[in-house]
Amino acid sequence: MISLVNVSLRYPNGALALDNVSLTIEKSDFCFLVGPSGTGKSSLLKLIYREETPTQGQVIVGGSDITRISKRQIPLLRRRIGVVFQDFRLLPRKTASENVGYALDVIGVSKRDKHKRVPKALELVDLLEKADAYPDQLSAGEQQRVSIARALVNNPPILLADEPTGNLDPDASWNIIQLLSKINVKGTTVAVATHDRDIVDRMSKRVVTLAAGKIVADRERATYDHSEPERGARPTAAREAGRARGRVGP
Amino acid sequence: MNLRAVEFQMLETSQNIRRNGLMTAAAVSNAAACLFVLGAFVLALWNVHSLTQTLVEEDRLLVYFHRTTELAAAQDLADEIKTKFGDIVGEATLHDRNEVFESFIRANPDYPSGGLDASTFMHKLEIRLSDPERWDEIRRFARADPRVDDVISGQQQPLLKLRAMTRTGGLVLAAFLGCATLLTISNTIRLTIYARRREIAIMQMVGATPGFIRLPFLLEGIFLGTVGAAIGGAALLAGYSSVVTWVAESIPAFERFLVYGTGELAGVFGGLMAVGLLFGLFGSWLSVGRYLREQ
Repeated sequence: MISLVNVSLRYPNGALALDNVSLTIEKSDFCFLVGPSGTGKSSLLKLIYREETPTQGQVIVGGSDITRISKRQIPLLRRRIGVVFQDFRLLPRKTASENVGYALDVIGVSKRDKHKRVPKALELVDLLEKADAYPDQLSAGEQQRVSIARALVNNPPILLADEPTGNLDPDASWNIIQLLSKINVKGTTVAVATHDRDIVDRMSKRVVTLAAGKIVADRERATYDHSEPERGARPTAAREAGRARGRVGP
Repeated sequence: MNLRAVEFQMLETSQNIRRNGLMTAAAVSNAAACLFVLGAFVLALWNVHSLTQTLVEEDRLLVYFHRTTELAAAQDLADEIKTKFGDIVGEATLHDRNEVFESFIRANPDYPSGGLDASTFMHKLEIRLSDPERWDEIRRFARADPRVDDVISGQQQPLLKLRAMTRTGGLVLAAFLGCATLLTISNTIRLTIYARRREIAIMQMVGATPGFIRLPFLLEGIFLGTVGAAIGGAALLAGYSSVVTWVAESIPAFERFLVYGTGELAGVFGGLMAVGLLFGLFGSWLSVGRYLREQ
């Protein structure tokens, strides 16, 4: 489970990226974070994998408040979280298979284990036949699938995707989102920051809407534009906290 | 970090060195040039030191007795000096006036010797010091003795000053030059780090520890430093041998001061290799540490 409690993030240049945000993403949940550019979607994800530390509030991942962990523990946290980016971040001089295996190499997994796990990860993203291809020999969609395989090869319980379809055409985008959904069905918690209206609408999953660093809506089975909460909407952690204190949420 | 990780790192390092061939060549030549200059300076310093040291060692304190001083009395003073300054006197030899006269005639065969005989000369005590720094103690003691006419201290004072200057000044300059070399190597490695920042970001993202990220750069630093030192050291020794040969042929009297023994030159080469290795290691440690802190 991921939980942000009254989290604010102000960057050193003074910009307020997140303003008193509370959000809970349950284990095996699938959640879209939507909103225009600069509303704090990426910042929120960065807090979860400790790329950033909040100015105030708690970020709880798997039961631990990761704002309190030491720098030495950050690599261990990141081994439990797969991250996918818009620009894929593949190493151009390594093949698809080597790029995926790289995530295992850096944590000292044995060769034997690596040779078992890399083909499985590539098979999951349907790229086993292109294991020996270099990134520049792959389409953008295929490169993103390699990046997803790399994020998943260590079997992390959480997968974060920051604009994973930002560089892809509609078909490739839909394939990637379908793939993320398939991964979620297997039990991985998935959070996707996007402003791709089409895929959010077609998926009909939980949608958390951000505007100016605040969560303005948090709805189950929602579409991109339904930013107003409706009956049966999922209460945010802030509302849950308010209820726990005997007050009625907004 | 386990063995598998180390094996992976070695492989990655060798691949990176090969793939970034131009950068590697630039870094190695830079390290070679820096270490060449450092080595040349050390050799120059060593030669000056060898010259002053040889002259100091060869120099003697000469104690001349009054003509009226008997040989037995002179021997008494020689024994006194040996007893009192036993810890700094390497050798004290008393020459009676006959020996001094003969030695003078031998050294100056063309000198018109008419009227000169042994009685014109004085007994002489020749002292070689095991600790030349304390020459003045004996000089003052001997001068104060009524049996002594004069004490000649040769070049001790200026030589000792020059030796002290080459020691301290040389060490300070070598330290500065060493620091400059270290910073140059460190900055060169910094460039290789920036060239691979994307890779570092991926390593961090997938959970590599700072130690794991640091290791390939440290290995690369060691490689750049030692290869640079080997090239710089080889060029230095080749150039130095030519200079030594030229000096020895042009100014034969200088040959005995020159540092050119195989053991000594091997020592310089080994020293440069060690400095290259350490500077490569420490330089990359500084650069990676700084880069990771900036992230």
